[in-house]
Amino acid sequence: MNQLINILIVDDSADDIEFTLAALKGTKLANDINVVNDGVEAMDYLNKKGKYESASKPSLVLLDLNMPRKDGREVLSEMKADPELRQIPVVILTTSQAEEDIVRSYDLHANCYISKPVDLQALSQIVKSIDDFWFGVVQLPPPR
Amino acid sequence: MPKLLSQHLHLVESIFECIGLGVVVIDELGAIIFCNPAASTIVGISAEKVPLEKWTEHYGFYLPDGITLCPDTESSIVAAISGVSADFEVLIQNHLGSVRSKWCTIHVKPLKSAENEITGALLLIQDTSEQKKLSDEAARSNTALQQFATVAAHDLQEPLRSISGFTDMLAQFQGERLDEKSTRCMNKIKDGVTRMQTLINDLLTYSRIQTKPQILQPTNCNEIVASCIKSLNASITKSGAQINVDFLPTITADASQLSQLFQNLIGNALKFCAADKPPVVWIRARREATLWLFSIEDNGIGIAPEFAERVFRIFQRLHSSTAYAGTGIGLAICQTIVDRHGGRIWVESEPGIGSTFYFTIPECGEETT
Repeated sequence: MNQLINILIVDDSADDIEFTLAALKGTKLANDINVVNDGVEAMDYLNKKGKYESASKPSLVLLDLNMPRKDGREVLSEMKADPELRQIPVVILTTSQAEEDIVRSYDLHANCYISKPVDLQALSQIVKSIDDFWFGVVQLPPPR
Repeated sequence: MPKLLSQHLHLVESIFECIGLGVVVIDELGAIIFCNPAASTIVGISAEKVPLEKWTEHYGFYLPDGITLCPDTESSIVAAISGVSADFEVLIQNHLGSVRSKWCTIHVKPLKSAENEITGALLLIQDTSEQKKLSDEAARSNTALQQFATVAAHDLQEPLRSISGFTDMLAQFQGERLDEKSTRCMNKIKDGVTRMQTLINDLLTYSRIQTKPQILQPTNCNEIVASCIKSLNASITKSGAQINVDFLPTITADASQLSQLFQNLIGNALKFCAADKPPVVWIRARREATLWLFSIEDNGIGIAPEFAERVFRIFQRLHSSTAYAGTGIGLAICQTIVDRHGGRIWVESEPGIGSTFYFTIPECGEETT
């Protein structure tokens, strides 16, 4: 089991981040959470550039799709093209329910796609099942 | 000249004078021997003695990029003189006469004598600028509509999520301290958010139906209807509905759109049911000349005749949302789907007895945009 659980939330909406953080409370995921607000910051974080020099490699990325500057699709395709980053599971967590977004995300090798529910309780349940699945059920590759 | 022949010639000449199609006749050496007024108007300059190889440059026949001279003119005419017809599209722009650029389709056909010898070629020049402009505009507005809808859907949802989420949080923080009045208000807020969200999602579906390219393929309606009935299972069980389906044909259609069409129509038949009896729905199809006529008949509350056409308009509702939930987009979506398949949709109804929705899909399923 992965000891150091470090998740990266990539989302541009402060309110949505607050809801996700509230939902994360009380899960295993809660011990090391980092938040960035767009795709450019996400890539800097993952590549340890600039102010993210000492950032540790996340065990899981929760990625929103629609963001300013660089959107989630670009982040996903850059991550999956990079031998260093492609092992990190990417959970698309977005408001979009559009079929083309779902298809496109899996085409770009997203590990799973989740439409964010509006209801806070439903969101809590989803976050809990992400936690159970990725950090309870799944065997992840050892950190490199 | 005999009188009859001269009358005929006069008639033919006046026809060429009047028609909007450009008609040019050239001899077997490539020299213009006839040119009607429409041809000069379309091309923008009148016919002159220009050698065939200089035509493209002189008359300003360009490829659709508007920069490269169109190489087809000369070769097509040469081909026609040796007996082969050809069609090509050019953008005409010349600075000698008219500077306005025009899109044209040119048909070149060999002209033969009574002895079947090639005597020259006939050029039919059709001005397609207006059509081109309209189809370009339609394509542009479709793209714009789609972009607008996608952006609006995402950006409109966001504040709603905030309202809903913080209402939930407030309820969590306040817990038992919330009195009945506050709980009621909070529920109202949540209801409003849910309604708005349904509205945005329906609107998005509507705009996607209008702009998404169709995939037309043989589609078995029996399978489509069976899967619609399956997904409506909950409301069928709840209302005790009986759904009768005749044997349906396999037609050329976009399967996902057809499925949405049946889903909306059957869903409506179940939703607008009479209070005193369980819904009974009949789904039928019948061949009529070159098309299929489908009908979905119910024994529900019916629609007054004055609303029979209005129900297909977007946001048109005949009942309050407390009586029958909905956004008034379902039938507008049906209308768009049927339109895009080149068919027609309408309703015949008697209030208190029931409604029958009819729609047609042409046999060949040709796409209309």
